[in-house]
Amino acid sequence: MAGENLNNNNEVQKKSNDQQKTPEQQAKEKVVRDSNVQPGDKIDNSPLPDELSSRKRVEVKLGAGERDISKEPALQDFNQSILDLAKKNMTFKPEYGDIKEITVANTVFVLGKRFIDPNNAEKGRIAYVSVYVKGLSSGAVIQQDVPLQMPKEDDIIYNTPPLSENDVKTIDPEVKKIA
Amino acid sequence: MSSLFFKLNPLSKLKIYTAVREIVLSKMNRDEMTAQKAEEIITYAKTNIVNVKSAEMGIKFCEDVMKKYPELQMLMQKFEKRSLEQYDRVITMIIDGIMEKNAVDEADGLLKVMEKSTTQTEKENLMKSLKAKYPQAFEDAVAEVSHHSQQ
Repeated sequence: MAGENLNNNNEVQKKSNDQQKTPEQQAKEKVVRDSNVQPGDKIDNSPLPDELSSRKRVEVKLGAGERDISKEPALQDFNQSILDLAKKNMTFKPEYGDIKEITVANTVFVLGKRFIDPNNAEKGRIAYVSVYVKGLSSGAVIQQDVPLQMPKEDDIIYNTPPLSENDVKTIDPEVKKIA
Repeated sequence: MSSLFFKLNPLSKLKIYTAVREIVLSKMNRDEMTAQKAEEIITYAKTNIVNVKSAEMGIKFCEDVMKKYPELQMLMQKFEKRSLEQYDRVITMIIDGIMEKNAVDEADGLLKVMEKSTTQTEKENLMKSLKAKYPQAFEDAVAEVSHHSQQ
């Protein structure tokens, strides 16, 4: 009985306190209460994946020391997949910007396959475009598109020999059609 | 935002929502925002944050919510401030490494540059040059700071 009285007293006190508060104060308190994260809110603290770092960057460089990375063992298996995807998409428009901004020399490289638009090739400048391929590092089959990543300022390599006439060609005629 | 930013500052839905909540409640308690407006923003944030699936989407969410509610204009600053601290930790670790090699002048010079670099851009430029000059030390420092950030 004593406990019941105590509970009743607390209820009365609480009602009395609430009555003393202005509607604005009560509204504020409600906002604070409602803003708390509840288990059902699906707002967790697990790190959100970073799309950029989850992709393996494949660098293709022009000029001196150019290498045909399509022959590198780690990439051989994926080369065809990427080209297939590229063909399917029929475009190399990147996710992160306009292609005109990416192609410093109007040149796009995709895994050793060179795409140059001879009409726009700006001779004397070199650049490379990093190709990010989801799942490449883990050896997974590429399931999504092949976005071209905007090269960062320090990604662009200068001071290498300029493009020669011979550079302005496509290695694979099939690829040129796509580009 | 650069990949390095995300590496050093792993975002989560909770971190973003908490940042929004802190700003809103703080403004409401200082009577700079009505309870109705606070409730509107909190409800919007709570409803939409669940659709964020990646760090990039998290940043986009912040930008969108700041556009929709100018009251939240300091939201990104919260993350940027944190990233400046993280950049400083990386730079300091590299400087420590240089000091251990007794290259005191070099370390001192870097310390001065670090102190002068106060903005996000200046810090990122310094990080770029350090990455180019001390690639291994840079990677090690980033890995360590990133590891601690995730804990």
